[in-house]
Amino acid sequence: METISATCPFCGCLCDDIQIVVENGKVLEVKNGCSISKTLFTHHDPDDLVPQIEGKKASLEEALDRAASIIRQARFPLVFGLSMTSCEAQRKAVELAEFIGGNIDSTSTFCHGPTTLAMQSVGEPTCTLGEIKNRADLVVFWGCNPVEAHPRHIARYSVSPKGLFNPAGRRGRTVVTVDVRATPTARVSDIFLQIQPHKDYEVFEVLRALLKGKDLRIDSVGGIPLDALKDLVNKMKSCKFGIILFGMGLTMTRGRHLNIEAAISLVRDLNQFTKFLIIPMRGHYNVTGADAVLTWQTGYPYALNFSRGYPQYNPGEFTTVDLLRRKEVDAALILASDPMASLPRQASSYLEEIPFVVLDCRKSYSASFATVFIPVAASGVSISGTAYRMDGVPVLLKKVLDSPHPTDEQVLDGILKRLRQR
Amino acid sequence: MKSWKFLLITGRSLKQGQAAEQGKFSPEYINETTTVEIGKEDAEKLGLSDGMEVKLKNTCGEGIFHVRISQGLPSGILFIPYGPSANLLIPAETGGTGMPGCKGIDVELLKER
Repeated sequence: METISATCPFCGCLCDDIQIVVENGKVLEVKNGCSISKTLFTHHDPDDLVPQIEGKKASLEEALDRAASIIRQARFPLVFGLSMTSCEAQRKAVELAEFIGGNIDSTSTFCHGPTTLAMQSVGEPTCTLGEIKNRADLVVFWGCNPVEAHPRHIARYSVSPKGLFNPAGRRGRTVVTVDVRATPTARVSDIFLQIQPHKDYEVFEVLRALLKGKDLRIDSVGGIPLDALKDLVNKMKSCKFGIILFGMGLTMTRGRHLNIEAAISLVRDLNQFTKFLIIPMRGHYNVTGADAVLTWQTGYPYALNFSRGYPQYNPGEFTTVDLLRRKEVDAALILASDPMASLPRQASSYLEEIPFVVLDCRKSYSASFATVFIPVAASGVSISGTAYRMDGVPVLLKKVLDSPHPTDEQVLDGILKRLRQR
Repeated sequence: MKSWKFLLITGRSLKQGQAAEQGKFSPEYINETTTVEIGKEDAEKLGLSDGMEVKLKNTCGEGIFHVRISQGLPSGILFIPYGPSANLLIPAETGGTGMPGCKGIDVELLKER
């Protein structure tokens, strides 16, 4: 029996204080992890998976040959996913996409893609989670629910911990939640502002107007009384270090990137009065890494096309949901994602009409429909590597258990070698 | 069948996150991702109780979901955890952003009389 230090490969918190008790290749106990982390490590069962071609068992070599054949024959292939694997594998995926002249897109496309669009437009006044822990005295959760989606965020970074300049911990912070639903996060907040669906943009602009001292002749906006918004503005102006943490409640609702532009503009305005910053709550554990790797490799973070021999970036044209909805791609290579479970059925159903390859460390919906399924070792469980936390801090993923399977990087390299041999 | 109009919000739930790690084909995952949450006031008005089956439909598709009454939902709003069933009801149009609108979707709730 031994105890191994691990980094949890689930959400963008990348908790790196996990201790795993292992005996004979089995996880006996997961210390420090949230309930999802515990389930992730204890339910990991790589022995259950074998390579498959059209649902039938195959050797790894046969699966690699068929995968290469599918990609070789495609005229407009898509490489998609990337968010639940290491930066090393993401880099190899970019190399492959460039070589085949295909599209490459990560799951950013349907989480914080609009956030990237906004940041390209108005900038990113940001900080690390450590700075929040040590300094923040006002925390605003807007359209996010960390109690359920990032279970240790509140305890480890944003609300409970005692910090260098906030020795009182929870008592030293005011916590505000703005959401359509009274979520569990709202229930642990000091103030909950219940907003109507699709009204975030209006509320941000009213907050900006109030901050500028405008006299508004309205009683409420987006279902929130004006007096409550005046009170929030006063709290924002008078805090020492404020942070807005936001989620899909802004990116997936009406306005999309315009909501984030308004939020960032409010934060920019607030810096005339005090220190105020903003961070997106990233979901998949290395979706931030996918943005980073694609950007340093190509200059662009997602929605990329290499068909002209150089990278072209165009959300709406080269984004996965659009490519599938318009039935434009003729083959796909999917890694570290499950689009048949997570994309709108109107888009993902098209995958059933084209050949596609899936690399995954577990049984997924996409794997069960794939023309070729190649099981891989799970990053952060069976192989080490690099991942980026939601605040852009790179964190080391560690190996905890052995795996009989190759890594994403090795499989991508195997496909690439076959394509180059032609 | 009687029907009522709602706005649908999809999102994460703790059970959905945990169940996905147990396996996408586990009963826990299938159960959680076919659950629709409805506010207490709406549930009473429509005569719905925990576990009852309802059909949700819109121009994208339709699906059968079982009801979970939630204290936190305002009237007129439904919530379904992310998953393949919720995705039956989400339009794939992205408005040139790449992002489908997964929150605030018009749906019709149908219930046997």
